[in-house]
Amino acid sequence: MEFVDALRLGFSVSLSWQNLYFCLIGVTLGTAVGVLPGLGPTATISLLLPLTFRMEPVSALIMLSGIFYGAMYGGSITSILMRVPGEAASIITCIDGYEMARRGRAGTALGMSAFASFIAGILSTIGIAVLGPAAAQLAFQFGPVERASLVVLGLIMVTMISTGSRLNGLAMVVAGLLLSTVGADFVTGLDRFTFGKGELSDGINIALLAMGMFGLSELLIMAEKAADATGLLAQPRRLAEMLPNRVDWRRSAMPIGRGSLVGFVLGILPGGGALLASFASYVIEKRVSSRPEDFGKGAIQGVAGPEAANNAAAQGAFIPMLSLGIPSNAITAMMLGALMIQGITPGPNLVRENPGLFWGTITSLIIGNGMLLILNIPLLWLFVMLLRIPQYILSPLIMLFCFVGAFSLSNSSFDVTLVAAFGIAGYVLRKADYDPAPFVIAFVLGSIFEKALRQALLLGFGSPKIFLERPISATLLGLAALVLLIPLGQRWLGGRRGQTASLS
Amino acid sequence: MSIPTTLATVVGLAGIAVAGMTGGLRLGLWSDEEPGAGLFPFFCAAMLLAFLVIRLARGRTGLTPVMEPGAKNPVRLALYVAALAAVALLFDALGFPLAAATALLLVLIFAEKVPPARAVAISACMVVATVLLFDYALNVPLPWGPLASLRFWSS
Repeated sequence: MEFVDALRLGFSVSLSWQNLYFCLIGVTLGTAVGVLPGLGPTATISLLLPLTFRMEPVSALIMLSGIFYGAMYGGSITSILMRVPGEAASIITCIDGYEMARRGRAGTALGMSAFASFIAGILSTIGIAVLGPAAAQLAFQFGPVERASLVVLGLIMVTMISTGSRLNGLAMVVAGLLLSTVGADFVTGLDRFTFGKGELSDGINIALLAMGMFGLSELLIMAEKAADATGLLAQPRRLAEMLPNRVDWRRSAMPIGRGSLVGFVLGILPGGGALLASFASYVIEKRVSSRPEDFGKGAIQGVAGPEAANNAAAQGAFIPMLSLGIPSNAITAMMLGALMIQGITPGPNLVRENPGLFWGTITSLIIGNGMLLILNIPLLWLFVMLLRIPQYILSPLIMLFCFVGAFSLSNSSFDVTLVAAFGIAGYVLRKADYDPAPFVIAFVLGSIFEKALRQALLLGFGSPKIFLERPISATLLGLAALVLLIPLGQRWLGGRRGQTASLS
Repeated sequence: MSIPTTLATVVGLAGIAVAGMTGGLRLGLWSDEEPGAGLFPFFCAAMLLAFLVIRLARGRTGLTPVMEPGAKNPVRLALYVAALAAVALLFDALGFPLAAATALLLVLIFAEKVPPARAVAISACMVVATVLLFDYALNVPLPWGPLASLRFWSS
């Protein structure tokens, strides 16, 4: 089917009143879910799955997709306003987004997040339409060996976002990997580091770690400062002043483009590709920026690129799901389940047998992102108003929300204790120059990495040579080595030039 | 944070790393010609220990604390930590409303120096709003402890 014909068909499906209605429900619900700590799109989609049985398959998929990327945006709101990432993928937005909010630019950060997501949505939809099922073949090439190598590359890149030293970043990465091993081993079923606590058998929920290490630790950092030294600048009052200006757009244009490309490619890859997208984008922007020292201090590129990557990856994840029947994450796995219950089997024949479903879903991504923009831009002033709440009220409120969010995960008071412990641990680590961001990201990637690593070693009969024998894996590991060694080489060369200059 | 406190943090992490390595060995690194349950945690813990030892080996340079500008208020910090601990410890025994109210009053009156009457009003509003949003609207069954009889809606 030609590209234009495909899009025409898709829009004719997604622009029906019924599908517009369900799309609106999806993005609104998704945004609300993303904002509230502890709740997440996975739980929400699982609760709504039974409702979808009575819906048209395309309407069901459109609504569930809306929840997915709506939650991405909602998670960014809390990341920027409160430094509490609503989703794992929003962790990166905490770094510069929150700093922008502290500098009186919360509206700009939120606005750029929405615009970047929308633009990335359009670009990735075009990418899907043009490359579509052909790109899905890339996902087919990705087995556990390639997945493990991709995660190694991702973990090396994670150290580059650390605000502390590289050594401390590496320490946090391996500490996060270590923490990810808590729980029952997925092969043997043995409990690891649970200390007899049944609540830990399923491992530690990422939401607990994120709320504690980011949200509660930030509360403690703020609490330690004298009352008049929180450093929060006043926010503008008019919506026009909150929106990104020309300079912001000039700085963000290329990051949005690069982020969309990176996110789209990584989103196609099953097993953590979408998660890697946001911080791969951050690392790239930091490397190519003429002012890398601005990152971590409210650089708008640190919001625009990752947010674009995030959304592009979320949409890229639809390609392997619909074209190959391979889900990239738990959310797309549930959408797959919803389709199969309706008697539709995603796979290579779906585009041919059910083009309305495929292209209707893809084009609804543009419509849904447009809805998010229309819904949330006028609400910027409302979100920014939250920051005018006095700190002595906002801090306890955030504390309450984190505790309730923690409890709501599995109705367990043990989780409340854990989130408090992570909050205190996060404070202590930050004061010792350990950045929690690499720790939390490595934690998320840890289970993916271990599973892929062990499967890969099984495939290689215990020999790690398999990582070098597979071309994609070898390429990824080579890139990882370059990313690790180039800065060391640059520092060494710089040192030698300095010595030569001092001798001459 | 001072150098001794940073040193204590690094040593504490080293202790966790050693515990991780010991746990990994106990779980088994390799069995039946395939990676054991302990291989990955052992490897991660060993690398963590290595990075920590390198930092310690750098001496004062490696342990120089993060210097943040501005005055510090350790008492306020301690009160917030106490509030976190209060919620965690009292959550089961007193239920959410009372545990949350205790923590909020601790923070508002002693840390933020809000007048008591105003603090009680703010705490009450926050607790009621949170309960209505999460317990009533979103059906999250928060524990109520001794106040269970006040919960007039069913789950």
